[in-house]
Amino acid sequence: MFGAAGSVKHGLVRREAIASTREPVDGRAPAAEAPAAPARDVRQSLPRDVRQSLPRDVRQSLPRDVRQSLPRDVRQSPSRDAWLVKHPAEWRQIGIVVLYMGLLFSMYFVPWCRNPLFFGGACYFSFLNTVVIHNHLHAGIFKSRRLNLLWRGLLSFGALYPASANIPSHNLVHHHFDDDGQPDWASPEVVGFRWNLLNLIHFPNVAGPNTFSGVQRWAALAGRDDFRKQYTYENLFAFGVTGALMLFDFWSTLFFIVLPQLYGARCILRINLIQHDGCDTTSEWNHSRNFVGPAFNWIMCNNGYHTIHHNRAGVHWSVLHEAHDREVVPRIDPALEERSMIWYLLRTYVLTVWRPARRDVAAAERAAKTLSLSPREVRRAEAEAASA
Amino acid sequence: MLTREIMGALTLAILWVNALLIAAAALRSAGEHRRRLRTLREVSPNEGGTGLFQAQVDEGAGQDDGGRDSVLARYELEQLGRAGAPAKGRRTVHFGDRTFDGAVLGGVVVAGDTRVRVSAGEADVWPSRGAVSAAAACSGQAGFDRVFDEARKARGHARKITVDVRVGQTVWLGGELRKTTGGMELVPSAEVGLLVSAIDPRAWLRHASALAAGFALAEVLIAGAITALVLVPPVLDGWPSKLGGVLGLAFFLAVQPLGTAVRDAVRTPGKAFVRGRWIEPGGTPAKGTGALLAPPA
Repeated sequence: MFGAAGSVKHGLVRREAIASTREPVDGRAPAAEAPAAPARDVRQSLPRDVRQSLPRDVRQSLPRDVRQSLPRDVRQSPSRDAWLVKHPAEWRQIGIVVLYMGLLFSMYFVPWCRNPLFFGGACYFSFLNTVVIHNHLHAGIFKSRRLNLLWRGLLSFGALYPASANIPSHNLVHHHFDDDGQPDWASPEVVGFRWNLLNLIHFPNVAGPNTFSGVQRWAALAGRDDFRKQYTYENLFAFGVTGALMLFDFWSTLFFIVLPQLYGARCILRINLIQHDGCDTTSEWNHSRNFVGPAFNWIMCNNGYHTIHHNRAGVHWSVLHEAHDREVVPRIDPALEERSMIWYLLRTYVLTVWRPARRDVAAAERAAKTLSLSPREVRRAEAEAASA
Repeated sequence: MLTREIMGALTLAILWVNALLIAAAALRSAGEHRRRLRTLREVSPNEGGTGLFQAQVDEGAGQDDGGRDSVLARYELEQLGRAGAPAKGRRTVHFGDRTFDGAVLGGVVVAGDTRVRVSAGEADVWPSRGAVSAAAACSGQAGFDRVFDEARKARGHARKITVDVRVGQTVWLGGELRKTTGGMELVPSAEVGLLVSAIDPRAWLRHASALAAGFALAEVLIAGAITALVLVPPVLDGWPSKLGGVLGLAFFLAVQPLGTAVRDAVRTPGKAFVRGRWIEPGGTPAKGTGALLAPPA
């Protein structure tokens, strides 16, 4: 349906090929045709950031002392020996989705399971399913391209929206807070109630349609044929399976499948508000709010470390905390480092009535030592090339 | 146990919370337009004051395409064009909006027998939709080819859509009208700002306000009708109730994009999305919404 694996005719194949040679630190398997390693003296003479961008094969051939000077998240590239997946940590994501599907279908088929525990669990894991969508659309979980595309279908069913929508909406627009000069489709400014709790509840009603109309515009451009095919397949699968379940038992599907699906889809949209409201999206290190509790990040697959994820989108999620400690902590306003998301939500949307006033959160960044970071246009162009 | 009744009540509660929030957001837009409408009360150009008056452009300090000083105010929209997927075999360019700008370039307008000087500065300039569409349209095959060549590249084709308010044109002006030693002068006011419009702003604001409020009302009424259908006995068991459930889900999914469509439709003309698509001229035009087709060459 999507062309033979390995064919360079299709954009999705090109994407993987490009990514595997351009961004080896992101958890992708290296391409078979990786360039030959340069001579040792040449390699040693390279600047550190150039060495870091070398493909895994080349990096492995670096002298031991040079290799050890690289940060762990750069050194730690995907293991070729892992079965099925590119990185052993991906089994956690697979487990989340399997557990979520188990919760959904046990409620659907087994009346005894229709209780608050299962329902609450299904809603929470639906949200985690969208977190997996996010990670999977940055770096495919599986070694097999076909399996990655099929997995997107399952994830789409879990969220009742096509997972591939994340490529334009998240990877290309949200990561750079900009849609060719217009604001991010999920910018916190799309809601404007004074009563802040209403903003939290209402946000998906605006950010959702903004996102999907933006995705439609992006998909209408030349060279997006493979994206459109995949997007259609995911839509058909998500709505087809849900519709088929509805034909069999409408109310059970609506209550125990669709409600959790929509809960997750709406929560991942809300995360944009939670992680960016009151931040300075024009700054390089204070554009995002981070949630740094270790238990939270274990189950959320490190998605609490949002600043470093924006700035180094290629770094694998399993090592984000190390990069966060090294690069973000010295440059971020302490108010944007939250230990607990639950406490933040309670404090910001329940215990405080009005939307908090903005303040200069980027002062910490100006006081800290500058760190080399490609301009956003360059990062966006790289993401665009990887998604072409 | 989560019985069908409990889940039905929860589902209806979710539907209503969202329906009411979308209605509240639409009413907020309607309220903003009503407030602006109140500030644009009619003022007499002879007496001065803050508000709105109609006039004809007599002098313009800005230069038009021919180099003549005839432009009183200018609306500018920066767009980025990118090559689109072919439409029935014809090449296309899709445009996205970037920044909206408006400025008074300076000049004099005449209202009755009163001449009013308008000083240069930032302004809210409202062009007519027709003028913007005409300025955005493709000029022909040669123009399309030139734009397409750039649009297919990574950086795309950047362009500015410009609509001028020129000498001889009837306009509506809003701001503070005050008497000076040199005669009457229009300056920005804290309440109104400085508005130059090619269409009647009060009529537009009334229409936009009615559209947003009407949407809010209709949306709540539809939610009410769906709820009534769901509650037809046997509740959550019979076909009418099930039909209500299907319509409720469809309503929930559809009302959100409708709400944002209304929000976009009531953006003031100076900030209204234009976007659009060029389809290569020649042959039979392909169908498509928002297509800005070139006139036949």
